[in-house]
Amino acid sequence: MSKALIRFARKRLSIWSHDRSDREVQQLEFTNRDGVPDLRPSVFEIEFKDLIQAYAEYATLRNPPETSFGLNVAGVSRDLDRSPGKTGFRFTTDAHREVALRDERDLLAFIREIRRDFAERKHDVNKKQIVEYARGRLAHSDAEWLAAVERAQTSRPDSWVAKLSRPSPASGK
Amino acid sequence: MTYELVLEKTAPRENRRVPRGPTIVGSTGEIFSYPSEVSQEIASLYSEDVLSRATSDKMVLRAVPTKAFLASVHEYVALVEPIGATTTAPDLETSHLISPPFDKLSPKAAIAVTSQWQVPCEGAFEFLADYFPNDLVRLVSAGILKPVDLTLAAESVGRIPVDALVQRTLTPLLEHSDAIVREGAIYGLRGHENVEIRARLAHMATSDPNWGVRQVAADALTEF
Repeated sequence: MSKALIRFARKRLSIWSHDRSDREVQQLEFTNRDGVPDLRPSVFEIEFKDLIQAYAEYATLRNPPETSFGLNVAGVSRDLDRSPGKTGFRFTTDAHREVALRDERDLLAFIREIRRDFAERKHDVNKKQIVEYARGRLAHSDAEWLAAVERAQTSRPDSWVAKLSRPSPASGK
Repeated sequence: MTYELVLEKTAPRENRRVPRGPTIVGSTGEIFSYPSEVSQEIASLYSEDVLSRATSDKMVLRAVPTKAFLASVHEYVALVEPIGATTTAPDLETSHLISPPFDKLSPKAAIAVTSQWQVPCEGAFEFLADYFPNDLVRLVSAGILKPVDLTLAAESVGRIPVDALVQRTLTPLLEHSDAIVREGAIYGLRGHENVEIRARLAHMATSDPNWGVRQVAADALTEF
């Protein structure tokens, strides 16, 4: 069975509403921070069962962690390039791919294709799930998560990953 | 894009907050300053280089804003080219030279931001938040940004470390008719919430007509 190609929603969940234009989706979700269209959007080639792990690891690059969804872009006929991810975790580093798009017109066509059967492609993942997953890995002394927390405590002490080492308010400790 | 400036050899006026040395003023009297770490060096280089070629107290320069503006003083100064001497300010309107929506910024902010970005984008809004927060607030409040830009600008307002200013700017956007703008306002308000805003978010988490906005509002009320 072939794996899914998951693209996580990045900027605004509501931009994916059916009443938005493909151009608006491109401007928010497929544009880099300098306003340049992203012709090599990132995806993760994974099994569905690993969706929460993939998103939790991906979310360590962001702050705070957010409810989101993964879009399975499998089936859109574009070349995929292997490209090491930047999460620092072996799983998502190995699973990272870039969709090779020719130009902005091809990008808009790609967006149109994945929006066409959006409901079937969308797989929700929420903030609570990834925080629980991360805490679970730390409880099992997962070396990669321990390292991620240590890195965050040095470089981003206010980030959610750095704060994972502190007791959860719900734990009452 | 080029921008014409007037370089004055005279000392800065008392009420102008400018680095020591020569000042650069726009045609309508605006003061242009530089990042603090380079301002002194720029002033020095103007003294030694450009002013040595000036033939009158005021000189029209053509400045070419580029990334070098922030990257290298020497590169920037190399791009500032004397194009003629004058004793009167040229007839020049900033708004004709800077593309919308950046033409609504103060001249100083407009030049600084368009030296790096020609279109509204995340990087430009974050830059404004960090270096020209009042300009960003005015831009967000002016009602001229498209929703796809306004949502990013609203989130960038959250970088401004003044709770009251962030709250005052973004709270009205929680009622914006466009869901992506409401969502951006929630992101911007993270870390700046007060009791009233938390109550608004709690209401939005259950009652906003848009699924994405409800999720983001609910997230904002939870740990992290």
